[in-house]
Amino acid sequence: MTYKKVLGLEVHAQINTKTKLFSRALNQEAKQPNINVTWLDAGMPGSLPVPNQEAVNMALKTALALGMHINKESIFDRKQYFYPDLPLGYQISQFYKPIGLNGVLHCSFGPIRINRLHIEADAGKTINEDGSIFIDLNRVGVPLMEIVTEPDFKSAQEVVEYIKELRALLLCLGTCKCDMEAGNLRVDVNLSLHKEGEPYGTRVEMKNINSYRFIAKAIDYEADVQEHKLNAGELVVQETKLFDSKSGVTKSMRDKEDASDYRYFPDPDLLPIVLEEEFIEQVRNNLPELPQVTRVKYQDMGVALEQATVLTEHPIRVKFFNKLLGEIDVKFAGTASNWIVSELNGRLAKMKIDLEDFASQVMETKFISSFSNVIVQCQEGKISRSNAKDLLDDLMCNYECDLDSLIKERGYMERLGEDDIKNIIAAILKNSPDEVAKYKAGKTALLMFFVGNVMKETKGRCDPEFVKIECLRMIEQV
Amino acid sequence: MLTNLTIEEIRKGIASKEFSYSQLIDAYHSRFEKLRCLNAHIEEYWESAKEHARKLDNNDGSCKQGPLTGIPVAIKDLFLVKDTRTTAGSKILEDFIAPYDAFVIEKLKNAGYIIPFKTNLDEFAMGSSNQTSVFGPVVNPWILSDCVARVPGGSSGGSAAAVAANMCVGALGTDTGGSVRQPASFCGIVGFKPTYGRCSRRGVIAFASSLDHPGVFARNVQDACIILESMAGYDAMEATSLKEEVPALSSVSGNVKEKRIGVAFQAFDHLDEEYRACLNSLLESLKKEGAIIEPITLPSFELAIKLYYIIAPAEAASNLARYDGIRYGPRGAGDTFEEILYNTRALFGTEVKRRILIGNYVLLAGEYEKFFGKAVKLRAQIVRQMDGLFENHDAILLPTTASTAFEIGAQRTAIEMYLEDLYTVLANIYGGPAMQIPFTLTRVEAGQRVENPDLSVLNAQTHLPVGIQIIGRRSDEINVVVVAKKIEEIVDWNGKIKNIQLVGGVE
Repeated sequence: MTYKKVLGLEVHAQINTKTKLFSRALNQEAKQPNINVTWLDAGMPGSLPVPNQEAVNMALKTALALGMHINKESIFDRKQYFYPDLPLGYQISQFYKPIGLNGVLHCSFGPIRINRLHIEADAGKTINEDGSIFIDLNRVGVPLMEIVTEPDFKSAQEVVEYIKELRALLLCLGTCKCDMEAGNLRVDVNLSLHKEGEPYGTRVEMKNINSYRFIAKAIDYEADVQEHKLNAGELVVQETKLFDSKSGVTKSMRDKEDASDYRYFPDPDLLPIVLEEEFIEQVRNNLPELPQVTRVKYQDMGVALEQATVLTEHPIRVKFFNKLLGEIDVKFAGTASNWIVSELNGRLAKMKIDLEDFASQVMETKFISSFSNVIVQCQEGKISRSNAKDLLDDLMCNYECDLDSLIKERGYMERLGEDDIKNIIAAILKNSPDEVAKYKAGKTALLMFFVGNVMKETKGRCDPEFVKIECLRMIEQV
Repeated sequence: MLTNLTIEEIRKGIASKEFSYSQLIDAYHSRFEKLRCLNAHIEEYWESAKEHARKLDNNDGSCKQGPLTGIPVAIKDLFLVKDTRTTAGSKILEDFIAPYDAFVIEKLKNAGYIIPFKTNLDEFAMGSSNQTSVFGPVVNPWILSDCVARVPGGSSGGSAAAVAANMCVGALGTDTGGSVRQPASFCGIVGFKPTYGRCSRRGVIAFASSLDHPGVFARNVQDACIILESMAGYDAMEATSLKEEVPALSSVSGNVKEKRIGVAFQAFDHLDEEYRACLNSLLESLKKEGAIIEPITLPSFELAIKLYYIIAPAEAASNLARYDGIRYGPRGAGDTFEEILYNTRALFGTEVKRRILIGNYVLLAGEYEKFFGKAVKLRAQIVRQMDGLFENHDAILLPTTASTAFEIGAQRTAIEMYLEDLYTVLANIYGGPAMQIPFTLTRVEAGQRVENPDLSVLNAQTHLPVGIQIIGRRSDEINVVVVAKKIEEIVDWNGKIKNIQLVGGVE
């Protein structure tokens, strides 16, 4: 492909507050439509907005975590357009002076610059059903952070990585629930193509794509469309498209050129949000350790980058791993992450259980200490890897089981002493005169026959390497 | 004459059993019946008002009691009063039943007031003559010997007319560019707009949020203060509400000693000689009382009115975007949202549509800096200038209106009408308290006769009232009231008009 992709993102993250941005209606999933609605949310005459400080604080926290410049005085503006699920006829947003400007998110593939973070109120939902239009106002006024990147992405893969990184960050901060299916985290992708060294092309916006898979698909599809157009000498038109997940194609929603002028102006019902320096510093100082920092820390302990990324995807994973690290010597960190990511998570994946869900279930049980015990004993060669895996299976079914008695019960005892092993080898050699003779005649491959029998006899409670050396030595003496 | 009493006189009369609450309400009701022709009201609640008064007379403890116990205060039909129709004078809300009480209404209820009726107004409070109401124009109770029907001013024309015609003790209005003070001047009563944020806007149908001020009408300064005290106060559910405590306005006396009063002489130059003569004698009297009178120059009225007519329509256009026919109010015909929207919004009257157009125009991306952005900057400049003036003055005197009430239906352009607010918008742009009090009578040239005049509502006068305005520093209602009480005492307006047969004859 001679064209290079240029991608930028606008992520709408619902802020994880108790109530809505400007009303006291609950900000939560509702079983019935139009339940979480106050007079303001319904756009009643005379109703007025009152800003939710919790939402502002969470947006501030997020902006600080993204290393942004904070506007000590930011302003709510009205973005005006008519839509049946927009009761006021305008969306309260931040256009002229957003709360956060110019930040960066350090992704595993490199830094992505953040242009702005602003607070705004979500719109309602319009549902077309049986030829009728239904309006659900439950979502009206739910606080959102819109996080806008610079056009820094070169591939769909980077885009997906970034969203995972952002998700990990927001989950760590607790400022967004990040359930993409529930619409907590919605992604608009801007895509244009250009040739190396030439200016950026016209961009197309793809709205509200709600899974990693669809994001990648939409980007690939739209890039194909644009490439074909450019190759055919056609122009790419600036427009907004929707990705249809069923057909896998992007469809035009509206032309940006025809889009209404939003007639932004500062909302006269609201005063500027004023943040004192002292308060900003207090929030900054109370930021938790961010996943991007944790990841580097894990890497320094010897955890591989991919595994460190998996472990820092969710704060519960981090908590789980940290708790486990507390039980073992740091030199085992790499081994432990291996056990978690490939063994534990592999088993969970087969059962379609999320690692963080499992981790939160076992967090307060004996599982973590038993699991770490298994990892260490295996690493120290006290139990074999296959025994250790079997033990993990058992632990996953019974978090509280006593590891020692389990090991005893299974006969996965500690390794036999060298003399015991030597006695067993001697007995086996004595009982297999034919094989010994054949070996001595040159069929050296029979060594593995003796080793295998020893391992069987000892139920794996010995080091195969030691057994091999001893067998070699003792056959010579027969 | 029960309908002529002050609140304090009513309290005394009730306490001494001179009359009952029911008698009081009955008296206002019969006055109201007599003057239906003024078209001052939109909805009336006399039955529930009388029931309320009966309960008070029975003293059964079922009514809230407070500074306004049993006092009938009419409400501009822009305030939401739970379970009553609230129209804003517009077809687009003609069947709208308010689902909750405005904050100030809640406060008045707690103060024990009685709501007798809701008053007519310009559609969405947009107008200065009460002629844009879908319920028809209100007639100014000052019907002179020329039998001409004049406007009461606007937009709170119904409230002003009702109070001037003794149909209630006081009334609520809203003042966005002068909508309390200008009609109060035209009707010869007190109109008081407090500091921005002093009275909550929650539950008041919005016109221009940054300029809207709930305010009050009364026939004397003290009544206005008592009502205002009852409705003012911090509302945690209103982001621009003032947190500070409401000053005790009704305990203020009119002692102007050493009060520094700035007088905008240039503005008074536009008024006639008779008026200016009265002004000079007023200033002399104030000086005798120890006030320090100083000439001042106010920011340009012309500039103020220009930026007012950019900011107000911009905010109005946005505030009125919610009337889309989807959730309440009449729904225009149509199969798509766009059709419904178009046909519903066609119900707005001409003046409202004009302002929506202007408002949307000045906010267009290409026009914003030229109009709205510039207006906002100039507004900040005016606020600074006014704050500067109030560093050296306790109150400022200026005219309320440049003219007296004009004829209903008189041909006036929109621009001429907009200039009605010339002296009043400054206080809205600034946000400080401003009170209009009746000042003098101006002779009126004979006008056109009304057809089939109802002789019972005539008097033989040839003069119309015109007021004077006192503006104060933001949050300083006290000094405005101090000066107003003194001027009221000097002018003795109610004494002056005692022998004038107001509309409806003597009770």
